[in-house]
Amino acid sequence: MPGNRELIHAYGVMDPSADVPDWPPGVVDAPVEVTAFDQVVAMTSALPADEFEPAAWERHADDASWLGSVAAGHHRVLQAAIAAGDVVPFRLPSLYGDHEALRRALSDHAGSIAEAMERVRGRVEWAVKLYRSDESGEPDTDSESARTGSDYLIGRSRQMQARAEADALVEDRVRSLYDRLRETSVAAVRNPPQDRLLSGRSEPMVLNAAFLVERTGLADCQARIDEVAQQARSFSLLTEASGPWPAYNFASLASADTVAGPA
Amino acid sequence: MTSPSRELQPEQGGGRPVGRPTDAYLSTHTQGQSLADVLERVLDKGIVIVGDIQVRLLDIELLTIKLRLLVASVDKAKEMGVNWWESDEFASAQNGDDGDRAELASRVKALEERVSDGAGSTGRKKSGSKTGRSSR
Repeated sequence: MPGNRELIHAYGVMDPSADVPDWPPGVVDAPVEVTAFDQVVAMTSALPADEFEPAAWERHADDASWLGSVAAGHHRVLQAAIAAGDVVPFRLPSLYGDHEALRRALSDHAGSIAEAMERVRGRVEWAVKLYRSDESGEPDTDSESARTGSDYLIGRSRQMQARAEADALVEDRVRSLYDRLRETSVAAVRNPPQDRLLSGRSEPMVLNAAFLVERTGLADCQARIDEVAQQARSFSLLTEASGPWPAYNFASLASADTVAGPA
Repeated sequence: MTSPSRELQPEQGGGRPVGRPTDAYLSTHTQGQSLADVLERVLDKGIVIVGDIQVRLLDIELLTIKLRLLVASVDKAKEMGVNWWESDEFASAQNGDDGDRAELASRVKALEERVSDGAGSTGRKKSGSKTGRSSR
């Protein structure tokens, strides 16, 4: 029956002991199914093939609202799952022709999935961003004292040097705050700062970090974030924290700064 | 361009409230998750489990900025968090800050030019052409 063909979308795998009593609607509001495979339990939805086959993604490649709603559905399900237990989130798109294809893929990647599950067990992700509140991102205004070309050049070069020194000082401070936050986490990663068009803030972002935190150590982590936020303010840095997130940043061991766990 | 201030303070929305009990952080209610944060994670992080169907996406920054462009006119996009697209307000969004939108639009154009070469290739891997054994 053409038109009724379905693909399997996988959100991720979860701890078999986790019980989510009430799943939110998934991608395109499809119901979420929890299926036990050989080694793992996967969260999936059956999606209409004509809307999600590769050609459809190509058609929608330019359609941010379509992609946004798909991403939201994917995230919504994973977010619900971490309230109940540990989750290894899959990167979008994660589509399979049928359950058998998904079973093969899970089996092919059994080793890295098991590693990831061990890494996130009992842990969630928390995010901290820092912004420079002393920087509007506007270009420097030239002082009117520059009377000649060489005055201007000298002034300009002093200005640039001062700016470089200020930037270096900020980076030192950001680094020390990041290190303070790392101490209450199991692993941490510094992602590239978001452009202000993405962050929606006029202040430039100077830290876009994610931390893998023990669920049992969340209170310590919160206290540390509060302390860091206080100190950041004294450096004219604004702090934003968000979470808990599914451990997206730690599902694959790309570039995390692993911190030695508790002895 | 102005944006709602979301400095980390107990009395403000957006950022994480200070001094909440630990359990609250593990509920399904979350704090401070923005559109860009969600997109950045679900499209660029997470584990890649390659199956029989492969789709390669466009430049993630481009897509995320386009999303931001779409919601630039919705004042409450951030407060609505990850549920913003379910809101009727989104569908009927009116223009907000035109300067902001213009800047976003020009940025999108520049990014599009940057990625126009190798963008959007998608494909389907030959599936199960081996002996078709179902389980291992």
